[in-house]
Amino acid sequence: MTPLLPGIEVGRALDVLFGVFLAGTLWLGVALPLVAAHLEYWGAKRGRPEDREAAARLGEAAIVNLICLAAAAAGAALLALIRHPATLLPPLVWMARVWPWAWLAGAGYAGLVLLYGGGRWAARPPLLGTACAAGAGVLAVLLLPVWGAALAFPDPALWLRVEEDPWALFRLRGTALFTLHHLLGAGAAGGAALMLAGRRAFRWESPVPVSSGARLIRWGAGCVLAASALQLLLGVAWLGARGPAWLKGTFYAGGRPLMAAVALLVAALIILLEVAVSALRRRGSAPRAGLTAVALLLVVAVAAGWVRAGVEEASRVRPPRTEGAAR
Amino acid sequence: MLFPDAQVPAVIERALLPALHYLFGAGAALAAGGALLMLVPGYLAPRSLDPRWGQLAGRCARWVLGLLLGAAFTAGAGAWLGELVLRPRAAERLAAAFGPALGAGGLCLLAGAAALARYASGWRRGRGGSPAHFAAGVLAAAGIWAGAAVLAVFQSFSLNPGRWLETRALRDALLHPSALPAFVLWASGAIALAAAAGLAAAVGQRDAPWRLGLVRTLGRWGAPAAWAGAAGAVWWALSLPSGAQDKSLPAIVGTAFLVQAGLGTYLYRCGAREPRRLSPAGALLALLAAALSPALMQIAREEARGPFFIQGYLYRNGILAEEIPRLQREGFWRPAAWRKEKEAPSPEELGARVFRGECAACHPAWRKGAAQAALPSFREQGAALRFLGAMGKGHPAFPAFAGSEGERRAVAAHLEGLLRTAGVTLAAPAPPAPKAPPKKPEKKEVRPAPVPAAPPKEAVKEAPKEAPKEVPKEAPKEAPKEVPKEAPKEAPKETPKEASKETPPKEAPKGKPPEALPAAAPKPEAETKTPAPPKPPEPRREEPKPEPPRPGPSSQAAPPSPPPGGAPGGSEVKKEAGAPPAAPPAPSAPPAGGGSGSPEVPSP
Repeated sequence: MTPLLPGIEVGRALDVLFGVFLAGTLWLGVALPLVAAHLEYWGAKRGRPEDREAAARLGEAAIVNLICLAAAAAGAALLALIRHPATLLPPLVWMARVWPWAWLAGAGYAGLVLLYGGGRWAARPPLLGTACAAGAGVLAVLLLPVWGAALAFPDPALWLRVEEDPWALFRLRGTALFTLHHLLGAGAAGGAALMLAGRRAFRWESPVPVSSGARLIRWGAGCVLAASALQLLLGVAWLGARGPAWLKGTFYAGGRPLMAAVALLVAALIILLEVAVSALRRRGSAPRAGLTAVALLLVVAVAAGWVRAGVEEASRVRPPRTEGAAR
Repeated sequence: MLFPDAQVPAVIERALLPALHYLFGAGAALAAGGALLMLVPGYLAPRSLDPRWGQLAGRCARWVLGLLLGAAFTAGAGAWLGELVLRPRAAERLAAAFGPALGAGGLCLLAGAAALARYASGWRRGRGGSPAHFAAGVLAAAGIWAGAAVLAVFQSFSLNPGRWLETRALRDALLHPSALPAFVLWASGAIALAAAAGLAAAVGQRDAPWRLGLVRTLGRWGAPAAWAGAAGAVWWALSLPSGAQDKSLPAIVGTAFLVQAGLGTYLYRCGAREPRRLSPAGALLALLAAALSPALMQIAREEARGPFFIQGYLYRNGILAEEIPRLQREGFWRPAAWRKEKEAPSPEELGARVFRGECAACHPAWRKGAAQAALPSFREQGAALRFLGAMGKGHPAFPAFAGSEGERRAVAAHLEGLLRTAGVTLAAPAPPAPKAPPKKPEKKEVRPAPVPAAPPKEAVKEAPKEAPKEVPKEAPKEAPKEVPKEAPKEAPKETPKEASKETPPKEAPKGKPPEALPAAAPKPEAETKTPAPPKPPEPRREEPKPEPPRPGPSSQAAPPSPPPGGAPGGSEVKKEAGAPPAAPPAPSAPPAGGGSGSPEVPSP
């Protein structure tokens, strides 16, 4: 494989980018219906039609995201089937009892998203629209552990448990951590989507009041700040659980690329937090903060994916120092 | 056997998976046809003063998007997941061979769906009618048609791979001999289906001139498409190789032809020509007829496919045709990373596993032990083994058995165990043909054998109640064919096994002294319905009355008379036959009468 940059291979870089695309569509798939349901409900209750209009736009965005999610999921499944059939298919077969339920939940999610995003909810009862969007969000949250379980397939240590009880995957601590991690990611993505939705009010001659847009940006910034901070804490706790020896060995084996990725991740995360805090300080009067937050989230996701790939690679490579010490 | 087998209810494989395949096919066809027809109002909207064309275009776009995402993608994902779980080996092979092409087709569909979402959103926001917006609609239709066409062509490719079998080039797979007929059939069916669905929606319009205009437009599109679909069905069937043209294929394709031709005539008469004659019931009927065609073609494909996923290359169980000789040498079972044990399992377990891996792809009902509908030839001991051995030669619908000799025996024992579990009583096999003199083999079979002093215990247990059913049919036929070929190889293994169990108890009394008769010959005359052999009255009277069979290993047993020359090695035969201990004999086998319900064949 041709190195793209020193320490980066094209194939691994494409893997990371595809993983970011997949995770992004997954986060938006969870966040957009839930945010739309929130806006739909409170917009109807407090008499704010502009919130319901924003909710309708988020519903339309959820349809487009559904297409992207379908593309990402199908592509990931096809790639895994072509490249790693021996590790993908046995657990897939053992989980045969789980898939009908997962498929039903996925079909229900698609149907509800289509129903909400394709309908004109301004002329219909707001409770129905709220229920529709919230149902889609809840189904997406329920599908997250399935996704986490599917990503845990390559670990042969789990296969014995899966063969005996396919539901055991959902009781693993790793699956719970994965679900929490993606829920927090969905929170950050939903916050960024709210900030983008509020940006419309700042356009020239926009019919939406500026105060309404600022409120959306404030809510979005709060979501991004809280989710990112919690994500950071979760990452620190996970690293702490691994222990300093593991950290040292991994960083030693990962070398400069891993160090660079970690540095980029930390820097992007700090700037993202700063942008969110700044938008909150200005009480939402920050129309460009949404775009900045989206760009920074993208950088954070790419850097996190890069770090993850580097850690996996480093855990496969035994550090040469250990061999020397053994002699 | 690289992957485990899924434990799912049979209804999923027999009903749910075909339903998902149908939903995917019909949904994709309806979406593709709708994507084409939605361009008509989209084109007319900026050129007409009537705002309803724009509203209609937006509504059509939303419906097509909903169909594509809600029906086609969801059902397609379910069907794909089901195929992965139920036929992982075949899915792996297909993905390795055509993964990029199928992925490209799926990407085209998704790109079309994304363009369609933009097109539908444009109509809703009042931006419809501009050239750029119409271009988005055209792009959406092109993407959907490209993706769906790739999938439709691949469906037909599996029946007629043509030159691809030699070149293995993707180009030859896409341009196989049936590609054009299959595309014509699919495309015309898609347009006719969309037109029929549009008619069903248009017939409810209140404004009469508007309704008549819509109906006429749809009829003009739908009628030629349906006629082309009728012609395409025949063309497609004729383009299939002769091996794929099953007996039922002409009937199914003929029905599809009639349905499409009738639909075209109706759409022409009540749509294009006299739209006032269209009634709601007629429109609904037309929609049902149009929706029937994809189902008929799906059935026709399944019938024509036979045991193959790709004709002549890949079987439904995921085994390549070219790897069968290797599997026969090395065996089907092998250690795998996901498997706990590294050694081959016991013969019973091995038989069950090999059966599930090789046979259950086409015979899923047998997995649960529902073997009542078994082939009549299997209702005789050793018939399953013979069948498995001759699968590639005598039964063109089946592939050759892809496994070692031991696995073949294990599967045969597993099949017999399934039959016993289902309450079927296995008859004694025909006497060995090689022992018979070449001129009068039947007399040799009927002739009573000298009775040994003490028959082996295993043989006593295994001997059946029923008289051999296929003796008069099979023995004379198979003897001249198989003896010269297989006798040197199989004689040491099979001959003693079959011989030790063979001679039916009914024939034994013929000319025998009464004290030499078996102690329990429970096969009554009514069960066999054999008209031919006259019973010797005297020895029968002196014979002790047979006891009703008890549940247990010996309930269906009848001591056989060994063949002339004795039956050495009876216990060894029992081991080799591998009759599964988990399969108890039928406890409900009646002591008199044909309770086991197997079809009877007159015994000699």
